[in-house]
Amino acid sequence: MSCYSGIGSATLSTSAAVTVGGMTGSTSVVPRVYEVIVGSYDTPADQCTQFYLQRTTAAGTPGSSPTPQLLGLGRAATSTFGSGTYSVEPTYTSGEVPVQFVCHQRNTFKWWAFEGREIFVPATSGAGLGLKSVDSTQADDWHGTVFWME
Amino acid sequence: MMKEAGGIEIDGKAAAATCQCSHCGGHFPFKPIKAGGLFTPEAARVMNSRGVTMRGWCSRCNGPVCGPRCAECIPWQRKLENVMKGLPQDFKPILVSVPRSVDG
Repeated sequence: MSCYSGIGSATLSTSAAVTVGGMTGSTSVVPRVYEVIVGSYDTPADQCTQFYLQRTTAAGTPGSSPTPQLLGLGRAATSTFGSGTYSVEPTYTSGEVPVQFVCHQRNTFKWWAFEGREIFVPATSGAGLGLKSVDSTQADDWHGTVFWME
Repeated sequence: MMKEAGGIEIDGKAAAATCQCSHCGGHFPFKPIKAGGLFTPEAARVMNSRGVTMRGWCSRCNGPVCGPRCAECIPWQRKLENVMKGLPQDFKPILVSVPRSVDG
């Protein structure tokens, strides 16, 4: 089992949900998301955003698809990662939100899980986890890094 | 006793520990709830709709539950397996015990 990271970024919206990054697995592996880091690189301001790490059933069409970075030794990732401005948002499963948090724009937020307590993604076609903003007080620029093992 | 499943850090400083829901696998902050006592899932739903954060405990899984939405006992490992086998998410196999021989 190897560890990987995917880095996404997006300009949020005050009126619509925006995906910052999305990890999509495959039918051959059960990826386990164990860490998420979120922070804004915009001009500091007293603004906040609510984020969901929500289950997806289709990857959507991301603006870019950076290659997941292998952390340490191992094989290349089977999962894919999407970033940038999505022309088609991922298909989110309603109510399936394993992690949610509200982040102040001046802070860097990190969530992590112990081994065995990660968020598991089923080995089905298109299944994954998307990091998206659901409510934001300002349309500012954010980065999100998702770490997983498979 | 609840076991920590993870944590939250803000600006590199530990802010909270998280628990993992036994039924959806989701994480939520480890903190005491305001409403004490025992509630049925229905009562918890009503409290939840009034904006009160309701957590629970599954005595079968011996673990925390994130809220009334996850009141029914279907462990997240079971749900994961159901999704991968194309079964309904709430599918629970019926387990029965049959003796090898029954004396008349």
